[in-house]
Amino acid sequence: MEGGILKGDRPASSFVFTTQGIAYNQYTFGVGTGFDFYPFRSLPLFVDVKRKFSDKKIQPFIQAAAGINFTNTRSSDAKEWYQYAGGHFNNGFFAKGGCGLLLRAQKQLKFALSAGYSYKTTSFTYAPFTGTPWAWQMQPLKDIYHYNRWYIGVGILW
Amino acid sequence: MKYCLTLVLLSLVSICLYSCLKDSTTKRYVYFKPVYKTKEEVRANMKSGAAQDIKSPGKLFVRDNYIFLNEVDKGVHIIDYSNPSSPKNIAFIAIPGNEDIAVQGNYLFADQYSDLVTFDISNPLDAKLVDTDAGAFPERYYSPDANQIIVDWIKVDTTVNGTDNSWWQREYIAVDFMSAAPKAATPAQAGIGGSMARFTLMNNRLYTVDNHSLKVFNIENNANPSFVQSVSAGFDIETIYPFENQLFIGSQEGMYIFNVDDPDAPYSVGTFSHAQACDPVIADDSFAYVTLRSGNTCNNITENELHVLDVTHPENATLLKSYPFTNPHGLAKDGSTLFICDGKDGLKLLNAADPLNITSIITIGGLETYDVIALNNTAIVSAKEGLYLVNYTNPASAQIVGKLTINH
Repeated sequence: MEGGILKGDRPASSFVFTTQGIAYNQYTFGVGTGFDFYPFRSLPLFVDVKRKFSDKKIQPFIQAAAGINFTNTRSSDAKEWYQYAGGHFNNGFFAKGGCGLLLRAQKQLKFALSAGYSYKTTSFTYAPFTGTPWAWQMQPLKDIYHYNRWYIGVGILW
Repeated sequence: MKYCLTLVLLSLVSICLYSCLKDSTTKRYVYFKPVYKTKEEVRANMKSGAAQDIKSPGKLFVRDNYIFLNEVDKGVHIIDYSNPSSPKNIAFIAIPGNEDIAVQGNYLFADQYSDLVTFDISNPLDAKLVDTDAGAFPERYYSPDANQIIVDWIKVDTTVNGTDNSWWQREYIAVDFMSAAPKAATPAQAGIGGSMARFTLMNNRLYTVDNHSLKVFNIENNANPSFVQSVSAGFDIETIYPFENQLFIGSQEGMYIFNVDDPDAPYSVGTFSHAQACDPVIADDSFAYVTLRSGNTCNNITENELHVLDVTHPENATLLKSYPFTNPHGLAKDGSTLFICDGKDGLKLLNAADPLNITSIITIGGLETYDVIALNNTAIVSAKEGLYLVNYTNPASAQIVGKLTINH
């Protein structure tokens, strides 16, 4: 279980992810999901790989994750967009990469501190234009949003 | 300890560098490049031709056994529905720039961008252009060259990469919905237009609305309409509907009622304001029925409702009751039966014998409806999937009897 802060162009937002996986040697392979509140809010579903570099009480690690970004079309920002634009959101891509420290508290309980880069995309397909065009009139078809954020997170592993 | 310091440093670097990260947006657009022809070339071809596929249907008008269906910006389909179970698309009149139509007797009136054009349709298979009033609709002036007409548009895709501006720039698409159809107080020879029409007929006058004005054309000589005057009517006007000696004008701000006792000099007798929304309107003796819907061009309301107004005293039109709907568009009324095109919910038939207690009779689902004309026990319904003919001899068992498919 991990939560933290995302910061990019927009005001800081938060995330909460949960990942379930298995450990193999120094690696952990998992599948995760959760809430990414950076607009447009979404529910990423991703595979996650961690590599730790020590078995001591403090264990540095690196991690990478990638998957599908399911846009939450019921969120207030998405609804607002619908209201003005018409059309629909599409799912996008999610990825993150970073490093951190695992702090072993008990044999089966660890705390994690991590930081890194997070990327997600979503897209919006506009309703087809059916009105009367004007010469050289630009009509939007699709917007693809690329969100680049730094993140800082804390977590608990068991 | 050194690992902790490393992490702290990493965090600080992240925080310091956050401004280096920029969101971006890839925007795909289509733009419309006009294709021009000279007026002479275009008008030589403005006559009945072979039937064409219905692709982008617009306003409807019905006269006798014929449905005149606007193909947005292209012209008018003529559909013979003398046998409602087997409607036939029999001809097409090419009218570049056409959005609105009206039919009286043997004449079809249509806009062609800024011009009003009149066709003799005594033989629908041999319609002929008989009159042109240049510049009748100056608000639709479009061409840099007065001798040229846009006959087609070439769609060109383009992609623009930029910063994310979705916080402050909200673009929208102007969607031109179809017209609906009421039971109106038009002369016997006049066809039936719709609750979302911008052209209507009454007392040998053609009344048209644009964004802010009501125009009057004298059509006593059908073959040669003459412009009478333009009256300031309000703001964000969308539709016009005639009943008895009044015109009900729907705008995004409300409903305006104009008296036309003197057909050439309409004057405002009442207004009813509501939340900004798309709102076709129809009326009968004492009541006006207004649908409000949210959507692409309908601004920021979230209500989707039918409003029933008491218009016994037009100068003091009052809201009697609101009924919730899903996304109501065009509407029509025949006797006590009210027809509501409720978007994806289909066509709803309601018992409106008591306007304060409107009850559902039947819903015809499975079609995304925009507009309806109810006439002689046959409802002509324009929907995303096609043009439907619904028999409502017994409203409780109304059913689709015929269909023309739209080729999107």
